[in-house]
Amino acid sequence: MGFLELLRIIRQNLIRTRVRVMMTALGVLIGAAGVVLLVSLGAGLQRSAIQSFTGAGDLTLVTINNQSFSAEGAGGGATASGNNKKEKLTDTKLAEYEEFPGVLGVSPSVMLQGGLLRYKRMEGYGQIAGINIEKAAKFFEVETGELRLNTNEVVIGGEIVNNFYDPRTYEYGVLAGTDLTGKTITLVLQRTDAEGHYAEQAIKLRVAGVLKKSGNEADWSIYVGIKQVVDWNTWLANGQKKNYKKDGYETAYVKLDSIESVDPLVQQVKSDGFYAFSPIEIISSIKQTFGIIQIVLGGIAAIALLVAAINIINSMIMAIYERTGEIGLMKAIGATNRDVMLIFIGESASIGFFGGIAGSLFGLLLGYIIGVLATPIIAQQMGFDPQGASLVYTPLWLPIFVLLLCGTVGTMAGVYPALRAVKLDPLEALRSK
Amino acid sequence: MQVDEPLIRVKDLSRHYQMGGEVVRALDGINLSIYQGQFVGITGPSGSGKSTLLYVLGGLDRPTTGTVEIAGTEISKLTEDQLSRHRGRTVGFIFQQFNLIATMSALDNVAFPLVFSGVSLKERNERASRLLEMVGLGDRQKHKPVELSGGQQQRVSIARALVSNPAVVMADEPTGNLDSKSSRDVMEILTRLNREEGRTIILVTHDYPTLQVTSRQVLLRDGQVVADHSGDFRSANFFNLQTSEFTQ
Ligand SMILES: Nc1ncnc2c1ncn2[C@@H]1O[C@H](COP(=O)(O)OP(=O)(O)O)[C@@H](O)[C@H]1O
Ligand SMILES: [Mg+2]
Repeated sequence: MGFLELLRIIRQNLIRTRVRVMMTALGVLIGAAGVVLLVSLGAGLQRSAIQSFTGAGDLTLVTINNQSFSAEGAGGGATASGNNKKEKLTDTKLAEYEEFPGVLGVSPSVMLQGGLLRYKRMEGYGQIAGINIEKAAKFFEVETGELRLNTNEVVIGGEIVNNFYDPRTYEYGVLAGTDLTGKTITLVLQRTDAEGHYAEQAIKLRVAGVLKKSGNEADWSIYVGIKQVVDWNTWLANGQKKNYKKDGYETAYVKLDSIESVDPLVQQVKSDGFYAFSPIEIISSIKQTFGIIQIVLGGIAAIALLVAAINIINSMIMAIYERTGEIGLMKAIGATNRDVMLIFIGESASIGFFGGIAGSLFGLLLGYIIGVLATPIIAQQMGFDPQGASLVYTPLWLPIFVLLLCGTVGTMAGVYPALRAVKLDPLEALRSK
Repeated sequence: MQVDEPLIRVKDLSRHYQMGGEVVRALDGINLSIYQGQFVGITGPSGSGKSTLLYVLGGLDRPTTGTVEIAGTEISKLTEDQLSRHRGRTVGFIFQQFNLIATMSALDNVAFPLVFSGVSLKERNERASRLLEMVGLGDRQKHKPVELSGGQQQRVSIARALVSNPAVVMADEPTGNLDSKSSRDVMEILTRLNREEGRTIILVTHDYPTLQVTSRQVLLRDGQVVADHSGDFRSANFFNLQTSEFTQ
């Protein structure tokens, strides 16, 4: 019996026993639809979570820290162990990272240890960081003004304007809406030396540009040339100058060309004994979490498929019981055991396969409907913006996988019943009824 | 009509069944040769081994001892699958219970055996259609078995037995479930097949009148051949002696 002949007879058998076939396939359909729907829901939630996160961070920016507290301060994404190699984040080391594949630019960062901002009669604050001027263009994009850090020039984050308050009333947001580009703000540094002498210094800084909002700490930062910050820190420390050349920096930023380049660099940085932080790590932990959720959801649905498989086995055994006479006849008129085996496994596999097709389509449809109806409600309750995307997301591989799975389940479920059919003695089978 | 080489040659055939601790000798030392073109009636009282003999000859059952050679093939040497193929090619069965597939049309039922011998769909349907015409059911091809009378169903199964043009047609009490009118129709077709096409037919029956059309009668009792007569059995008086055996 050729393959086409086999398909033809299977088709004929499915059609003439269509009620049973449909009832059995319904079980597969429910299981398959369940898998497609639940895994799609898991995938959609993951996508939403990643999307709402990627809106809030530059994925190709890695922050290197020499000390653990600052790594933790960067958002809890650091995962390295302590600096046991006693390596230092020196210019030489940074130059090495500069040569690392995929690296666009590396800049050390030095934080100002104090300081207060003034603009007209208002006071404000922000994280003041000194960075490498030449590299600034690799890291930042301005919304207004220019990305330029000459002496006494700053580039400020998009949220800095909201950090100003009226010192008499402590009313915040007094500058909201003001464009500070080209304006002059004053940085006030205050120190008390060992003998208790108080001193103050006011530095006029011109805002060269305001950065595009990125959702990360840059929004709340003020960037200055690194040399100036080092000088201010020295003044604040009563003249004690830190030797960054020798002792290394505490923090450095590395900008990479693509997301794929992030992990190799992070691994290198960690093996050098530093802490590396990248939003990618949070994303991979999101992926891991949702991967588990998807497996759990998929597992629940897989139980439905298992039930469907048992249902197929049961149905095929019933079919063989009902069609015992037919099996005897087939053997009497020339069907070999192989023919009988293939016919019954083929029927079972078809039930799985067609149930899988219908179930996948049904799951996709349900997913679409749920996506359209439920996304706004769930998004509102969970407090995020789905940005036009559905909460239900079906990766292309999913329906294909489910189809293959159902086909396999159907085939496997057919083996035992088919073996029972093969074992029937033709004469006894013919005499049954 | 006889040719020198028999179509079927049975030697020292026995078929025993184990029933609990007891051995049932359904067939007990049968020697028999059946020739091309014969219309053999196998008869005997109920339980005498008629069906068992037919199915061993047809390769649906295997001998306990002895040999069955049919169309040059020693069937006890065949594997299970070879035996299946052999049945499909060489034997056309007609059963008392018809054994039609209820969910298939008459045409599909008739064409079914050819599915397993690799005949194309077109040719299958042509042959099946021609045979349904031949048994007088040309207008019932699309009917399901339930939509046909018992006699019509048995005629469908005759067509099915002929569709692969087998060397021998074997019928186990084909009229056992039919009224006398239908029985006569069925026997008429079988007679015609034998007389006009020269088909070899082995017919199991314990119905006295059906034997009248056969060309040779084999009488079984307790798994043994007790009489074997060729020609018009009405002219032979041994059956008159044996009629007491029949429990009709
Ligand atoms: N499968 C079987 N198992 C046990 N005994 C059987 C079986 N088939 C037939 N027999 C026994 O073999 C004998 C012959 O049976 P059978 O050939 O059916 O007789 P007939 O067809 O002449 O009525 C009977 O005694 C019957 O009970
Ligand atoms: Mg019988």
